[in-house]
Amino acid sequence: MTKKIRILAVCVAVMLMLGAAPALAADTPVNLRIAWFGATVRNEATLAALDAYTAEFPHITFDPEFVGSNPEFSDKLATQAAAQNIPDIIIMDLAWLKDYASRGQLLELTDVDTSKINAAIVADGTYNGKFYAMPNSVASTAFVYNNARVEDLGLTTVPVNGWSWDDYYAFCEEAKAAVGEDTFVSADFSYSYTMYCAYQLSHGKGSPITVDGQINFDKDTWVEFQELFIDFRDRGIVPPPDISVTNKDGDVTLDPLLLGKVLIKNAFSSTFGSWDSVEADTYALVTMPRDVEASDYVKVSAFWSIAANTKYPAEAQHVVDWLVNSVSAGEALGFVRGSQVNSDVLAAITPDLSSTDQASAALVEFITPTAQPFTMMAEGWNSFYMTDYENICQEVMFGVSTPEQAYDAIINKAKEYVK
Amino acid sequence: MLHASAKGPVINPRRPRVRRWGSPVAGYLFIAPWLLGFFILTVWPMAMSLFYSLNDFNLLSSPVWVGLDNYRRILTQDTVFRKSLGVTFRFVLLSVPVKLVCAMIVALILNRNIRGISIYRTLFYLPTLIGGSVAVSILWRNIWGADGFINQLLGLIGVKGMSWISNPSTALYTLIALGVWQFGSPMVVYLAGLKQIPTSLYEASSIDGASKPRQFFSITLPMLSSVLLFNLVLQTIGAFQMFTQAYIITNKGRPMNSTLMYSLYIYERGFTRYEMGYAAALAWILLAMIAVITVIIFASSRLWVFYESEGG
Repeated sequence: MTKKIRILAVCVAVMLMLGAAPALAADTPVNLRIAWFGATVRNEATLAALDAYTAEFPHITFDPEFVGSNPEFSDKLATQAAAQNIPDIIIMDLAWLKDYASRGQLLELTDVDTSKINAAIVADGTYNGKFYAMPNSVASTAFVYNNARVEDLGLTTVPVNGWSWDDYYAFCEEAKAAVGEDTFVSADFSYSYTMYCAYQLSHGKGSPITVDGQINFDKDTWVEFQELFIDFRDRGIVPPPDISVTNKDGDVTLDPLLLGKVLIKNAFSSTFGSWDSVEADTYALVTMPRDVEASDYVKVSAFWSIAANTKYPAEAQHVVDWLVNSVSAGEALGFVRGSQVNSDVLAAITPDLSSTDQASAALVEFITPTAQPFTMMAEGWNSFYMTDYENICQEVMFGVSTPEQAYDAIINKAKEYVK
Repeated sequence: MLHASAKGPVINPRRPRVRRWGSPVAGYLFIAPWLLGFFILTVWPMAMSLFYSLNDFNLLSSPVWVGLDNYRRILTQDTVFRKSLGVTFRFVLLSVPVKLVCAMIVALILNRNIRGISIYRTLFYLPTLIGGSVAVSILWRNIWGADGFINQLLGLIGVKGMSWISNPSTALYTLIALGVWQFGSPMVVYLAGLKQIPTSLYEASSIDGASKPRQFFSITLPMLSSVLLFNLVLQTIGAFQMFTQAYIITNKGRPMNSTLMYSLYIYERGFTRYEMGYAAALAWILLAMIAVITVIIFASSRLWVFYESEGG
């Protein structure tokens, strides 16, 4: 009996020791799901980085999940989150970070090194004092335009960094006279919250929705913005609304810039590769027009976050840390998501940057001194920015509402989001 | 041959006679797999959905009881609900009749003994198999887009088209066209119904001098009316639940919510805004609407459905 008790005690002790050991030994094979969005160049670069990681740490492999665009990824992630099936590692956007963090769906990152990243940028990845999102890169708002075509047209007013809204109007009018009836000049910005936000910021009137979720639309400025585009629509400077609303950045069948229907549209410096990879040496980046203040801001273009319910928190954090802080990762990723945030990595890869990445880096460098401070999107407002605002503005585009009626509708809808 | 004794069958007095179907246990055991599936995958989720519809619930936090507040907000305050309801009813009222008529016409054409008829039937049924897929939705988007096939055809005759999928006055009709294109399923049911109509009725009416249209309205249509009822109910329910095409082709109900199908709105509330309680209430309202409409269709069937057992 005593012998049996001893054996039992040894077994219990062994089990307890096993239980007290780290969840996974260093060489235990681990497979992590990792998800992101973006154009082909971004996918290829990310896959190359993951291959490099697995080559260095063979016990960790990946199941990559990627889709072409931010809205598609956002929808898919929301559905996965509803089923509590978020991939172990995900690319995170400022637009959704607060929503996911406030719902407790993200793991607090405690084992990543942020010492080589600007503290203000690191702060963007926090929510309620906890660090949930590791910044990967920064990018600025921008316009992308068909530089080759603009040069061919021989215009006197061309896009240049630091240009004003008046310069933009002059460019549009001169270009319209040059391109003729069947081609338009500019994308229609009237239904984009991001673009109106830039317009109101540049007029020194702050963000239309404040960081704490209060309504700050300036009626006169908003109506003026809408009337400008009604006029542009009538004069054929921007495409008819049925063409404008099908825009999809970087899609060769739906992007009016790639289709040659417009010469200029809004973008982020980090997505420049979407156009440049389709037709090299054709497109260029330029700052957004400004007024009394700049329109542009520099923001974190991509974070890495980890699902709160991941089975491998240590391994996932190691991967995230490596993706941001390793020169190998930096070399593989380049600037596909914007300028790298780790100063050492940036210094190491800068000499070998492609011309696309150099253009992106130059723009961020130009904008940074006068950039608007980026106020993170208010918590719980994502559907307003992505859906409701667009739908109401489209009523103006299609002539169903006047700008004044649409303004009232926007304010009423916005009030539903105020907490 | 069985040889029963004069005294009848011998019964072993020690063993009580087993009534094979007397006990329900065996029967329930046989249908247990289905019953389990039904309770776990249908009854339980429905019960939970009903419960959540009475709560404020975001999937992650505990539900907070709000009673009928979600229903009150939907019915009294939600303008998008009313918009999506209008869009969905327009879709159902236009797509279902056109689809059923198309299916019947094609079924009548295919209900004849011509060479290779099975190949034709397969080809006409094919859109039903693939029509609800994402791939076909993307194809449809390109067909009806600004530079799509339709506009290229129109260009040949000098007509300048538009982007049919992104114009609020035409976008819904592109979805209706896709819905109608998938007529294969009701067509197959019609074909089965047509096969059941006795040829003697046509022969007798021919002798009496009935024309083809007269035969169709006096024989074919009445004899097919029960099949028509079946198709009408199924297609109406299916049309109310349309989702994928509106999600993919018109980019989640755009423009201006002109193609915001009811199912899409449920998805938007549940999975984009994480208002699962509200979305569950929307789903129960949809269920109630479908139930009421189905009851109305069945009630009206007394007036227009002919059953052979009724005579006549």
